[in-house]
Amino acid sequence: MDAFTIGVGTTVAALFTLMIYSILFKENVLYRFAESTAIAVAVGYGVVTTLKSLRTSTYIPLTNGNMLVLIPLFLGVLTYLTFIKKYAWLSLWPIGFLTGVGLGLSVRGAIQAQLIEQIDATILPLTGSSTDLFNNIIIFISTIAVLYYFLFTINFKNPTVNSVSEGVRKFARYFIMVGLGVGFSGASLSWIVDVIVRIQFLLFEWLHL
Amino acid sequence: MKTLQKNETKVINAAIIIVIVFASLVPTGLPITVSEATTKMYQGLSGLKPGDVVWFSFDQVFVVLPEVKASIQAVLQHLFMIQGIKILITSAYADGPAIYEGMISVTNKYGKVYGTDYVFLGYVVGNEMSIANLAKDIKTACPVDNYGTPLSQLPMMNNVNSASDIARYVTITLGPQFYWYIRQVVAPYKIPMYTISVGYFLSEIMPFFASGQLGGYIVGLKGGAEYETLIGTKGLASRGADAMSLVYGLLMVTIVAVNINYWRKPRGGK
Repeated sequence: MDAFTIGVGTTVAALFTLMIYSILFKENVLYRFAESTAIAVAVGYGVVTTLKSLRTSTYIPLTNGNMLVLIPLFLGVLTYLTFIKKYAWLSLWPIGFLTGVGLGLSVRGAIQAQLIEQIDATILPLTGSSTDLFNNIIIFISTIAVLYYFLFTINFKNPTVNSVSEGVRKFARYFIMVGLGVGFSGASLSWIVDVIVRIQFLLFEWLHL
Repeated sequence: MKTLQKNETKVINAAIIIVIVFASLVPTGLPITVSEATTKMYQGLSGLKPGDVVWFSFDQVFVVLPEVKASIQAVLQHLFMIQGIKILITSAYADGPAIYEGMISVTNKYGKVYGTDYVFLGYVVGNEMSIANLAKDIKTACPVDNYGTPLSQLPMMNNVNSASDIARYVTITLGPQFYWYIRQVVAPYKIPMYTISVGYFLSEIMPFFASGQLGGYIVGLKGGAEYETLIGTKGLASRGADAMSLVYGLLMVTIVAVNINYWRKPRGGK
């Protein structure tokens, strides 16, 4: 790309950035224009990319004599029958097929990766430096307490046992709040970084300060 | 004071913008502390030997590009700097190909040749199913590259057939696809995985780093700045590091001040 094209692209990007941030002042037509344009471009790009991938994953193998790709293509076409009331029930077949295969695949990997290995990671040695020891105890206690918090079907009749149970739940709630706090701070980190990057784009790449 | 309270949001927004502009124009050069997760990612990728293949997945959407762009550039630059390694690039998201095209021209300054040193398979449709298929048999799951060239005609792909031929796996994570790879690539094939992620997803990936299923990770602009420090360059992330530190300081002060103000107000009653 030549310098003129890059310059025009940068200016358009800068103007759209300013239009989007104008919402910080108040709702206005420039913001709505920029928002609608972004959505339109994203949809257009998505359609083109999907058609392109259909070409590489279906059309090219078909022209090379691989007739098996006709099966997923046929199932894909069936999903569009949801728009014809009389044959809409046929669109449930590919959805059922995808759900079945997807669930089967997920469960196969999830048991090992998200259950066994995660439980295994909480079985930690009570040795090492004092920091490691402290961390391991916290991980062990918080895992048990938070898992207990989500056991909703237990109701002890003995008041002493019940108060201990409620105490553990309350204790677990603090760990959950810490977890949510980490999530919130991570999300705010994302938003702030977006603003920093856009402002620096305006300052350095558009205004060349 | 009442006007200030009435326009609280606008005042905070203005303060954030002023701090970012000031920190960008007058950099203070605050020190960048490299985290354990970033160090492990750097060490894991530095340990690649000539002939090793890295699977790099552009699984992201345009919306999060500002946050991870610097990190992607730093990691790609690091990979292109390592002599003799091969890079297999894929994307499980439709936005991936455009982001790849924008990135590869910037980062590939080290004479790597397309088809010999790196290959881009493009957008592979099918989410978790396509990842499982690619891991099992790359050439059947995706017989041609992004430009329609059969993989059999690309020299790099001669000895790359499945996930068993992959030495490291790097993904850009922003949501559920992280679990696709943990379930379909890391668990069955035991490939060391590293990720470039976004702030809001940090709490999801941390347990996998603690369990050893994830070799290392870098998050957002901060992670990018740390990685740039390790590879010895000053890029987009380092440029934003000062502004980031100052804005976080401002946010912490704001949160404390607003909470004090909240508790001072009379509450309750009917």
